[in-house]
Amino acid sequence: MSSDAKPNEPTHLEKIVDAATLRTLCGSCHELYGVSQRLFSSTGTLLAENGEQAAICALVNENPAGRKACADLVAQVKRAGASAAEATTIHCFTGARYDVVPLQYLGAQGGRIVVGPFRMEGDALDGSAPGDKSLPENLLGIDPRLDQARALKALPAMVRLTSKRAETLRKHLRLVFEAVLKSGYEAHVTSKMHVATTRESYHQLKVKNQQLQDAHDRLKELDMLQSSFLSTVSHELRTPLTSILGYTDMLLNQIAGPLTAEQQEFLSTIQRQGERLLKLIRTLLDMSRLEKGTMPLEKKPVRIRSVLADVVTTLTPVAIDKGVYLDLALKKGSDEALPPVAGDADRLHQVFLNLVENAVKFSSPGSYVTLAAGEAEGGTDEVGYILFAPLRRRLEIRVSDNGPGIPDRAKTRVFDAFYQLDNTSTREHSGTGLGLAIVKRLVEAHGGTVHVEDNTPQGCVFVVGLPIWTEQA
Amino acid sequence: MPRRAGRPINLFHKGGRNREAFALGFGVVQLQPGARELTIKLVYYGPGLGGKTTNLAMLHERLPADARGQIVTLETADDRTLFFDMLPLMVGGKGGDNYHMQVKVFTVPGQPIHASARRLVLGGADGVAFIADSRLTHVETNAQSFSELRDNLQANDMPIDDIPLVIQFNKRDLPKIRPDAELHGIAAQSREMVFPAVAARGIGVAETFMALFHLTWRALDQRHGLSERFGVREDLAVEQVGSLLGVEEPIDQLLRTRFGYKAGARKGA
Repeated sequence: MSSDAKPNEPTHLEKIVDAATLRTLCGSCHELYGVSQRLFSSTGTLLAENGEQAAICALVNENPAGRKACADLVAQVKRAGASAAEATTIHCFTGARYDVVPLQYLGAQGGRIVVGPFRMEGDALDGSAPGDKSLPENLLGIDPRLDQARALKALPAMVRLTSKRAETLRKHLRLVFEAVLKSGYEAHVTSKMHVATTRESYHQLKVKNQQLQDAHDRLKELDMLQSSFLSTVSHELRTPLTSILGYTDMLLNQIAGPLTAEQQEFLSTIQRQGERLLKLIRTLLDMSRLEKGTMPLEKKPVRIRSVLADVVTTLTPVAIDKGVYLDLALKKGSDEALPPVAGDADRLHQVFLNLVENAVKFSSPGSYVTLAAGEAEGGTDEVGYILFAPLRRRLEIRVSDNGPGIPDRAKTRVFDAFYQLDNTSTREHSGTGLGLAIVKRLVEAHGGTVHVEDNTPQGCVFVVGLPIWTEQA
Repeated sequence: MPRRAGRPINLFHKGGRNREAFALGFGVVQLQPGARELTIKLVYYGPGLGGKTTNLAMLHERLPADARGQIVTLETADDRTLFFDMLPLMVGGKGGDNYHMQVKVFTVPGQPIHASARRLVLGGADGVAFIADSRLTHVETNAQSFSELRDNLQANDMPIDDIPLVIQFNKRDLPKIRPDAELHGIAAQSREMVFPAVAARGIGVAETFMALFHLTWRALDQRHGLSERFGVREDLAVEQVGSLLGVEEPIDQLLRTRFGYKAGARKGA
């Protein structure tokens, strides 16, 4: 431990115990012994005072000469014992005495107690000897005008102690206050120690944090490299592919001359597969940005009805081709009733395009794909829900189909990247297995949730919950 | 750690390492079977400047001098709570009472930087009052603080589902607050009791405290058979605490002041 534990450090009483507690302590000692006490700090400030002025003191203070002598004595008492280790006694001209008890801990003075005035048993004028009829010479010398008759009455009224009792009193006071000093000092050192150890752990944590930060920075750098690698590769892949598609398009438009039916068919296949490849590259790029959390999202209040209506418009031709009914189960005007969600309109469009496209893909002719939206009921079962309610408001969008449905075991796995329910090479429906993975990551990037439920009598429902727009969102 | 003789037994946890967990030296419900002494620890939790200390000061003001201890306060220079405030409340032990109960009410420091102090003070709590700021601008800080409370309770091996909990929406007199209708609606469906308050004017302070004490006593009674051990019925203990606070209404009537109260449905009963 540092300098705090050095034995010579001053341990000040007033810093350890509050004034009210010191007064209570002093008062209780006064009650016990009947002697006045004054408690001084190590610098001589009065901390606590008890007892009434003795009758003789009041009498002496009536005249200027007595007042001055009394003040001089008090000043002497206050000075006494400032550096002493042992109790000292100051004799008053009235024959009374003051004991100055220094309070020490670890060799340093924490304060001092002045006990008195009191008189010793056996001193003259103790009232025990009937012949005590004269006043101390000192007293008369200081103030010849003193009312001797009153003084003779007042002097014996002063508290008297035997020398043994005075000794006990000094010892008692010293023990009590030194115990206070000791425990206070210990508490002080302990708290300092706590602070020091906390600082030390803080320092260690800081060093560790720095190491972690360095490691983190290095990883981030690697990550950047990887990320730029991916975007470079996808750029390098897309450039030639765009050329291929462009030239195929020109050939198909017979710019380079007429084509035979067979040539046209071959070129159409090249174009179809090329577009598929381009879509796949875009999807992979999206996926990697979502995984890294670098997908830029521009969050604004979004009216979900218009997003869903756009999706329906886009996919209606596909649905008609398949003979599937696309139903936006939102009445016109219901948009005002639905609160806006917080999100990026383009990305939300991508989410629902994926979901509805999937639903149409797995539906059989004559069946329905339905889109519905409404505010979700909160989970009031959660403890403290009332505090979270404004932050938990959700708009729930449900995309239902009557397709083959998803078995329970696959309900969470369908959102894994590259997961295919039908993993055989002869599967009926094509796809990269990235669509739903991207949906889930996009929804989560919006602070939302997505899950699958069963539809009745058959099919499944994809339920997307999106946070409702608030000023804080 | 072997149990030392004469030490109060901590009965809150059912064994294991926390059997004698005395956070900060103030235990969870401490029972001194021979001496019929009981100490209950209640903690006021919540975001900074939400009114926890104000609640405590108002309770202190209501208590008669012989039933209250001095508020122990450890605060920073700007009068914000540093470690905790603690108000001891003495019940029973007079006249014919054959038991003596001390309720220690703690507040935690709300400012974010004192997270570790909050966790320490929360240790061994028998009941928790969450003091939320009603203003719309404070929705997020309330939610964060409550999540932290849940985590801290969990870290102290006290799942939030098991601890008696009361929520207070303070500062109902300010503009731009969460509307009564909304709070009524949610509270009516919620598990915990939610009280409105204006702590600075003493409104809702006693209701929150009495509800918490009532729930805490009930939970402890179920767990440790307090009523039987001390020969004090729940209604009597609650009534005694209520009369110390100068509350004239019976507990049932106080509980009706909460959000979402519906006549006929008894909650927390």
